Amino acid sequence: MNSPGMLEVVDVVKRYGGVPAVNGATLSVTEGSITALIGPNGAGKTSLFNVISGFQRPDSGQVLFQGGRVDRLPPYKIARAGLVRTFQTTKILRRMSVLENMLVAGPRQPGEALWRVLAPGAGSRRERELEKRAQMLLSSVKLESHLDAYAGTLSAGQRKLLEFARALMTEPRMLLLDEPMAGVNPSLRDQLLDQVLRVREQEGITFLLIEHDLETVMSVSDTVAVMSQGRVIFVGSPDEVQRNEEVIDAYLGSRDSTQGISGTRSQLSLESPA
Amino acid sequence: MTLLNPDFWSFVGVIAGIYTIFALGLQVQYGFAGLLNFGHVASMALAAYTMAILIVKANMSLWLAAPIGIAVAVAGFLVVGLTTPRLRADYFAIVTIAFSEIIRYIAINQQDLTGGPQGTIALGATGQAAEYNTQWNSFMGGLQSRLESVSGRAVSRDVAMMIVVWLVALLLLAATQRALKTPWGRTLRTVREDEEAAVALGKNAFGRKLQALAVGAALGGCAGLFYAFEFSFFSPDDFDPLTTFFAWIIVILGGTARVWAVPVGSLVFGFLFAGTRFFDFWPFSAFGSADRAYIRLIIIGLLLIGLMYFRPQGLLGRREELVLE
Repeated sequence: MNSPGMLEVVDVVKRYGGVPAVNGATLSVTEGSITALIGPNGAGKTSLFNVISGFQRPDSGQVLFQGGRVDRLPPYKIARAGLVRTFQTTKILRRMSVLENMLVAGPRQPGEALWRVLAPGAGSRRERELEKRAQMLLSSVKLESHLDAYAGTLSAGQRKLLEFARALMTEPRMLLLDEPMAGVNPSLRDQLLDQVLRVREQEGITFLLIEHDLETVMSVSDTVAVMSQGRVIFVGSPDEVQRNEEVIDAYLGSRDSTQGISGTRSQLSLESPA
Repeated sequence: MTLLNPDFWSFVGVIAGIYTIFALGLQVQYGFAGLLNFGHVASMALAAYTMAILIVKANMSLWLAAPIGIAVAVAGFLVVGLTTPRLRADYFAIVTIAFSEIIRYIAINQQDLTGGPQGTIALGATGQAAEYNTQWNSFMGGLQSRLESVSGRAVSRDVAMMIVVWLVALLLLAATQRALKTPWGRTLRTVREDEEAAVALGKNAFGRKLQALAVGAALGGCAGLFYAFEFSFFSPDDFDPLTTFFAWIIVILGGTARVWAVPVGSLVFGFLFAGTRFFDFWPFSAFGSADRAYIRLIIIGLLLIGLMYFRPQGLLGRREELVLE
């Protein structure tokens, strides 16, 4: 953490009806990194995502993106600034085609202004650029043959891929992916992971992802942040996380005095994946 | 026999045209932006009353009063939109139906302003029947005589009115269709499909909803003006919630999210309501006319149920979209 982070979360608190979901979380994400956010259910990961993306206002604390405060901005402005999120349960636009799902995400489309709707050819040049980019991104997630299908007809795994491609369509600087691999079959999962790595390489996009699949977490991320009870309790490399006792306690349940932690250790040992 | 009277059918045509413009506003709001507006009739009432009041009480020219009427209808719904946090579906439905009833009750109770329950006839000084449509009638008279000289035969007022209303309706339908095919229309549908997704993609969902609300209210206001012209007189009763639900029937009957489904729905709806008045042949001839009036409504209900049963997506709607909702 020597250089100022792409994203700085400082002491964020978010309570729902008095119950803190995020309770003083602090996190720094380095530009161009892939950071995984892990932790048990109810640790506050998604709540923290909601705060970062502006869908929820924090009760206290700050969120800085590229050096500027974003915790008081409406969520659509945060997205326009280049900090774009996906959702745990995909939010695809079911009664719109796959291509339309992509096109609507394209930024700087002048044809989206109401006062231009009757002007001839408003935004048509931008539209062609967006179509080109949409087709390129869709073929990178193997959805190019579904351009005109209603997005609602896609399988759950395809929806995850579409949502990921759509998020890239916004030309983000940083992506927040909420369980991008959940419900995605192994071959699609590898495809998605390849995409994440390729996009980071080519476009320099920073990633923060919530993921329960430890194999995924350990294989793609540079940094792993562990949340428990609303706080970030540990930040380190995948290796360090696997060795940290506090993490094992928090994430994989308390050590059982009679069995020790051998069971949990074997779950975390990924050097020889099953 | 009234069934074959062209004047009757041109009257039905005028009403269908007015309802086309009216329901088109709802189609934009509900079909494309997903807004449950149960108080759409308020746009009609606001525009019609504003125009009539300005003409009678302020001696304003019709051509100025009419657009102000539409502007007031738009402003009214913008106030509703801005004061209903986030325009969430069910809350919005309740607020809008309340809003349209508030407007109607104001029209009933503010007698000095609106003429009260007696309607626009009481807009002027006591004992003096007020007219807001002198200018419109002379415009229509001029149009009628021009049509007569062009066609070489008598043109009734209803036929002339039908031509005007449907020309405007077709123009508005074409413009709306075009607008909704642009990237702007796409953002409206995005908000309809998933507001949070729209926001997450950098779209100002609330702003889009307000825009849809404004466009819909402008169309509803335009229908209100034609309604006022067609009847030369109106009262608060004309703007009860039933009128809103007629527009809902038209949108659902024609098919949601389809612009050209609106005129189809309006015509079917118009002929259903008007045409069933002439069911006096067997077996209806077995009943007295008072009973036939009730039987007619039963038949309309059954036909609507039948249509929805066999085409739940509406006449021009797409079944896939109904399934994917």
